[in-house]
Amino acid sequence: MKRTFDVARLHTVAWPLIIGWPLGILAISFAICYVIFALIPTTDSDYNFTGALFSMYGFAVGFYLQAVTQTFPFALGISVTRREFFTATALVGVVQSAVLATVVWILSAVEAATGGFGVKLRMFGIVRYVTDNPAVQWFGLFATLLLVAAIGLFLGVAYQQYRVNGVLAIGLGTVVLVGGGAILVTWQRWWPQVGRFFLDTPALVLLGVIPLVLAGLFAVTGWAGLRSATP
Amino acid sequence: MNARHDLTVVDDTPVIASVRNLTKTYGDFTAVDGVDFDLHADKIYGLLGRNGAGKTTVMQLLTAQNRQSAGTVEVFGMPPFENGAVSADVCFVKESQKYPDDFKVRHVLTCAARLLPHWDQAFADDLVRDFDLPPSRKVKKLSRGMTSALGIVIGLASRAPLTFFDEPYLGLDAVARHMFYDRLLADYAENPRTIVLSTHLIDEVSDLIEHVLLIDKGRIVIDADADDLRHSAFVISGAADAVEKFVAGHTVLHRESLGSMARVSIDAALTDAQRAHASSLGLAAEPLSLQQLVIRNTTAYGRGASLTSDHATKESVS
Repeated sequence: MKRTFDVARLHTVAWPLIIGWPLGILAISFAICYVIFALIPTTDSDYNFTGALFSMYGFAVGFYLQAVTQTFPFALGISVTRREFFTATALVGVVQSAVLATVVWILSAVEAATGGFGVKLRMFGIVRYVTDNPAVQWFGLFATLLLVAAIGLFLGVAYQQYRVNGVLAIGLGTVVLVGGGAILVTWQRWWPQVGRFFLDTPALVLLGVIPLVLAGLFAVTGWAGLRSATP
Repeated sequence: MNARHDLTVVDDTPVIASVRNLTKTYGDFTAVDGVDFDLHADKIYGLLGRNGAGKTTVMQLLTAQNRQSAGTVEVFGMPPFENGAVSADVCFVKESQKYPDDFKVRHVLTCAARLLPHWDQAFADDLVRDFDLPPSRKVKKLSRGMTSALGIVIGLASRAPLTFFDEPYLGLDAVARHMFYDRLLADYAENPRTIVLSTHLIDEVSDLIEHVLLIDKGRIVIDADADDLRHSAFVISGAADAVEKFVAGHTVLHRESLGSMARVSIDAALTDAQRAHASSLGLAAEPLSLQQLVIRNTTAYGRGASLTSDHATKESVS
């Protein structure tokens, strides 16, 4: 266990990256949104939605991608095994997702209680669109953050193994899958059913279980690739 | 490598790593081709060979950075791949080592200290001072030579029972390189361990290494004690006709002539009497330098087989 913690600290030794960046991104995005909506306060909607929180998800993808492409070769250079690296990185992912979910969850509670910080801002309360249950809100944030971390790790392994071709192939695959799916759904006139799926599925499943299962899939696939990866 | 199996009897230090029929292929390219050798405890090895000969691949296979296509690798009695017990006792410093972009020198050293179990912090501090490494500079911003120095600090301070240095001093100036040799030898004397040094600067390290492994096109062509090697081939120089008469009957490795003078390298261990005979003929007989020996034994010179046969008789069979 101590070994796992020691390896995990590879990710935290340059702490400005792991703590400073996501909080900095969040703070600056918030400041910009706040100023904008403070300047134009007279919108008719109940809430002024802003997607600024998604910048944090973008950060998580980047963080775990570079964890594999940069930290992994260094770790193997100082006698860390692939298993030790993966376990430690997964631990960091779980802890980091939990901490960020808690921070966002608290801020969303503050946001809701203060009428969107007095300017009807809806930045942190993205999961509040789906559920009013505080526990499900937290779990949804945690699971989705973990999912993007796993995707980042997966992309990192793809890059480590197949370089740019691997990442581009995944990008192309995603386009084909999503685009093809959209064509199929449009052609079969399934959009109402798709809409109903999102409305009918319980929030816990939609925000928690599905992201968690997907995160598990990406992590397991990533591990399979990492086992044969060379630094 | 029959000769080597004989040597293991003579060599009483324990074998800490051995590879048998080790092979690594990438597609239809064979980087390492059915290699056998042992590494003994507390010895400095020179792993020599041309670019692309397979040196780095061999080291990657021994250090679990890569997995072999065929054959076996054992380090401290176990297969090294994904084996934490083995990794703990092995350190691999390579020229192309990557460091995370945001790491400063001190971050790298902190991590190394935490993760390498035999780490000596006082020694590391000493080396950082010797090599003038700025602890607060990002590794990304270090010069090529300084990046190499950082690797050298890790490799030496790791005190790993089996330490590999793969071209550790790219970009380092002569002074820094000699500092490396000096610190390596001094620390090795106090803390004996097995060191494998892979390098192109053969002349510089020829006094340092105790055992030579020469790899050429994925095959080991020399696996011999460095002292034995130093006296296994001679270069005879002097008047051309006298030289030719003297070398008759010996395997000639290389021949150079300038006017009436000639220099001929022969594959033979000359006895004192033979050397005295040479000097009585007005000829100079000197041991062939390790670098020359390596050059004469690699494929660009179309040889490789005949001298090899003295040192490695099994090679032709495998």
